[in-house]
Amino acid sequence: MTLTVENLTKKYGNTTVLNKITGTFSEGKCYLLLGENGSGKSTLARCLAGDEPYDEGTISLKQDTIHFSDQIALQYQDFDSYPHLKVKEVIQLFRQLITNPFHTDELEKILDMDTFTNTLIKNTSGGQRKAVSILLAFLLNKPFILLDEPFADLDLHKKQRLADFLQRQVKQNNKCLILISHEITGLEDLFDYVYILKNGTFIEQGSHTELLQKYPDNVFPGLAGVYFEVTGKTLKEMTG
Amino acid sequence: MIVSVAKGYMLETLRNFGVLFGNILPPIIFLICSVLVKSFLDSPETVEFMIKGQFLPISILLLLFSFSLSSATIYLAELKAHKTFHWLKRTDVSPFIYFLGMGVGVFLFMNLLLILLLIGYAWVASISITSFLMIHFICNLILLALYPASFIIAGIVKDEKVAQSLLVPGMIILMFSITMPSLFLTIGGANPQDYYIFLSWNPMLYLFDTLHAQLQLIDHTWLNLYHYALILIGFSIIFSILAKKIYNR
Repeated sequence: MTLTVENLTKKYGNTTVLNKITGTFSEGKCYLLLGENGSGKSTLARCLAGDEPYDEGTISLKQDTIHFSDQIALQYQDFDSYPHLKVKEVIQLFRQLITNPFHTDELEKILDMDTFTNTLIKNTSGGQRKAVSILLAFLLNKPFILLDEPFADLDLHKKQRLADFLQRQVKQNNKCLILISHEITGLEDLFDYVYILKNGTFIEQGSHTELLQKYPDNVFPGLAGVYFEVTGKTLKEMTG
Repeated sequence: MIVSVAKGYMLETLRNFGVLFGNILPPIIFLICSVLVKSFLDSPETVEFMIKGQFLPISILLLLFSFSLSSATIYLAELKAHKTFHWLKRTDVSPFIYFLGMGVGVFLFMNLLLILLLIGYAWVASISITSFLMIHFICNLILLALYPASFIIAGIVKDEKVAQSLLVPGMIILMFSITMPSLFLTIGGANPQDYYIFLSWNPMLYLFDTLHAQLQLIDHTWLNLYHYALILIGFSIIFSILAKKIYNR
């Protein structure tokens, strides 16, 4: 299954946030969306997830009998829902609302969920809420999963374990992962294809290897160097 | 799925002490007033009339408003503000199942508290078993009519704070448009039922009138009980259709 985006345009009033975006996202691959704050990454994610209407262009699946947004799980940056339920109760509730939920045991261990499973959502920290959000995105068991800064707030060891887990979901379970992340150092093997956004347009794209070959003499190593060459900014500046 | 949604709603409502306390307290205050009035006044007939004519109906109106409309609206508005519907639309639960699941929770809370409240009032005023059951029945019809309205209000407001600020005037209109004209018309020597046609838009009218008839304050209701049942079911259907339209946008 391939998700195709053609000439996608999104405007807020007179401001064009996405300007004729065209790209494809296929199952069994992991995509990285890079771009500074306000470049349109999150808007693109919300359009792909069907949360945001768009003005022009199309988003379609090759299997046109299914609506694209039914096949996409979006991990929102935060999870504020059900503030008076415990983390384990929220997970249990969602598990019962999904006909064929994903088995999240491994992910729960990676995200250290057992340390705060009995905490009410309203009492959890930002990092813990993000962990709940990531877990629920997988629990939905959709072929396309959009993750918004999944590595933020994680220590190096957990980052690596999560990256290994994500890679297995792509290779073994044929998932399509679309990641918005500026924390990519040491995790670059995870990404099959990279889109770099600026002012609502893809200004550069290609596979990891293609981009490294295209921009060989970089100040910074790996994709961070490619990003700097293309945008003139460091990845740290990406989050503002 | 219905049970899971109901369980989630009930757990959240029980653990949200501030809102729960705020919803339970007003009807209880009128019960406490009744106990105090009965203890301090020597005229049993006057006391019985005060309790049945004012305290008990206001208690029940408040309880119904709190549990069939207010708490459900605030809960739904909170779900909306926290983008919970974005998550839910990706699960396999349909909006109708969620509506039913929450409805089960609302029904259980309202009925449990209504039974406790009526037992409390039966302790200070004479309420026959038949009246007890009939009051219970009409209250559930009101619940049926008002519960879908909570989805309409929550659907048009931004968050729970806006919902709360809308509910206050809503409560005043729903309650006092019935109790005040009735009180002043009675004082003025007129029969309030002659004017009920002008208040027929308000579901609380049917509760108020049935309560007065069941508590033997009036001889008969304005219309027959089955008319009230049909009208309230009609309200429920109209509100449900409107709610569906709002959530399909």
